[in-house]
Amino acid sequence: MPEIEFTIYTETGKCETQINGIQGPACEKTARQLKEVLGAPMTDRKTAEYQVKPAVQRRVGSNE
Amino acid sequence: MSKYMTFESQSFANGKLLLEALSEMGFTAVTEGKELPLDGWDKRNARTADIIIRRKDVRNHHLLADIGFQKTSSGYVAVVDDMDLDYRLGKDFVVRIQNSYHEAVARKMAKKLGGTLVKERIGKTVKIRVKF
Repeated sequence: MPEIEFTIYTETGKCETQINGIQGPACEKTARQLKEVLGAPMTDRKTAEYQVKPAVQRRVGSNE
Repeated sequence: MSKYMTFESQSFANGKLLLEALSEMGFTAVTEGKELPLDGWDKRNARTADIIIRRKDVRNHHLLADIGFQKTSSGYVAVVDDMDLDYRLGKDFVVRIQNSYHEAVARKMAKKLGGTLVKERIGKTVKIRVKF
């Protein structure tokens, strides 16, 4: 299940966000929505799952 | 995991969320406008702001000056009298607004994405999970 995890450090006001469970560039939309309300991030890093390409099944048919 | 970002800015990108954050902190009477003059500031250092909490509306602190938020290219920036920060509101006042703002962001995202929100406090850290 996709989720956004916010970690708020109440002594400093710093906020970390981690978008989980969305693979590939599809998560860019959610990241963009976050940036719209949180402003420019200090850190902006794609993690391992980002690089996983969604599995696409190809049908190989005959040319009949 | 797919994306990790950190936010530390003390400017608030979204005016509506800033108002929600202030309301959560008990500042419900707010004046909005454009470059409105702030009361209580020295005339030699007159300041204006676009969102204002009037000092007369903050009865429990007896502020020397209005609290303002000035719109800039990066968002709303707090304009607060140093003496009020030191002796009345607390030096961590803007940090507390940040914390409240970040919680308002999580609520907004949960609503926007049609998700559920789970909040957990661990010591001085607040963890919020928005599942959608």
